[in-house]
Amino acid sequence: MELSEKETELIRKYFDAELSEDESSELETLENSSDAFREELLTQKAIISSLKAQEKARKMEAVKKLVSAKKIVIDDAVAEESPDAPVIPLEDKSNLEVGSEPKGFPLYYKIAAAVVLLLVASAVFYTQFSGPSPEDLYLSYYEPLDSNVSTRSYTKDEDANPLEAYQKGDYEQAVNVLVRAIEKPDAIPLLRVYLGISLIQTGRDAAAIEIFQMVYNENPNNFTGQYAEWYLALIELKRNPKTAKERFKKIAEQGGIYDREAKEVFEKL
Amino acid sequence: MSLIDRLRKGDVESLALLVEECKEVCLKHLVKKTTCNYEEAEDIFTEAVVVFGEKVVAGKVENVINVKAYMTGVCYNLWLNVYKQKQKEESREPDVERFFYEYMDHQPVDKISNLRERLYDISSRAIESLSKNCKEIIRYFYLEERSMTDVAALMGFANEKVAKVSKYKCFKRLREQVALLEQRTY
Repeated sequence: MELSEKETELIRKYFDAELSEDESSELETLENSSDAFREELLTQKAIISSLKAQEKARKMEAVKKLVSAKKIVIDDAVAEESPDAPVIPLEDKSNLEVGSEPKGFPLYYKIAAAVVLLLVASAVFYTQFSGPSPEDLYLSYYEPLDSNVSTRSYTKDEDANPLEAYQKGDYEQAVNVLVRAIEKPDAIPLLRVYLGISLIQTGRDAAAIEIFQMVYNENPNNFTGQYAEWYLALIELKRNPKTAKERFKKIAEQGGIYDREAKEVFEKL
Repeated sequence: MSLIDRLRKGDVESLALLVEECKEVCLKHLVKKTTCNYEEAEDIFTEAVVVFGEKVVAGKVENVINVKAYMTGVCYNLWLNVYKQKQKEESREPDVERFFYEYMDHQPVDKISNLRERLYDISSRAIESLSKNCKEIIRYFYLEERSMTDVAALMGFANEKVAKVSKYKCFKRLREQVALLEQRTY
């Protein structure tokens, strides 16, 4: 059975997210009362989701190629060499012999080896005496707080989960939701820590500092305050390593959730 | 032009730049801070790049100052989801539901997957039969979830209204093609 013009328009509006409240209820009624309408809506949904799935699969494949094109080295554990990397077989030394040079390596190999050695020595010296940069330390120690850190409900409203977007990694949305959630009179202070982290994740460090500072000032002696202080120290690491060092020292000395990590950062700075 | 702007404009090389910029930091973070091995970390990072690209294109992410930190966070959360899922699966007792899915997996002709494959096949053939412009409009609006303003700009239309009308006509054609192919095939 063909749909009426009005029904077709309702479906179009549904996909364009243009339905008014009245139209939404009309759509719901039609979904429950008309088989033809329901079938058409489902078919269109299925076409779009099927195309979406194909597009996603294509993208994943293309990005996977980019990602796996070159292996990286993670500390001492050397990742597998890329299959495209040139390999010189050890027993094949013919390509190392040049002209009338009797035995052993030609001069330019020796010079190259000396340069490489010098570079390696400088690198070792540099890492021994200068340590990792504050940016490296930040990247090594920063990670968003696990959203399951509290077993308490975040607000008294059991139905609402203000951390849903945060848990999904949608930090832009998390900021929007959490800004409203912290205004509720029954919101627990930890929510503001999550808001601060969402702000960091979306590149708004200055706003995050304000939030963390406020949380820390209000809760200097509990876990929430410790989380806030830790993230404050991490942001300072990027902005002002000197003051960050003092803060890490304080966190290490006072003991708490992050005392071990703070001691490590302090010693590396 | 920033990386975000390039991603939004559909610049294909921007994804490669994103990978180059963030791969090392993200993989190191995943391998060191989670239980991931290198290959798993690569898979998670791949998904994070796709997710990030999609969000930028759909206008859900507009301003990220520190892309590396953002991507590290996305990767960590994706890993967390995988980890929780694994834990759930490991702790699940054998039950009726599990046996049912195992049974379904071993069926040579599974009705559900058959339907899914049929739809995959038909919708991809239907979209291929459309004009280049229609394919692009459908991709921008339905698959990449771009705004009508974006679609109009990318397609070089005078305004959103023109984009909207074109989009409607193209989707109608797609729907007709699907119906036609369904009739012909079955």
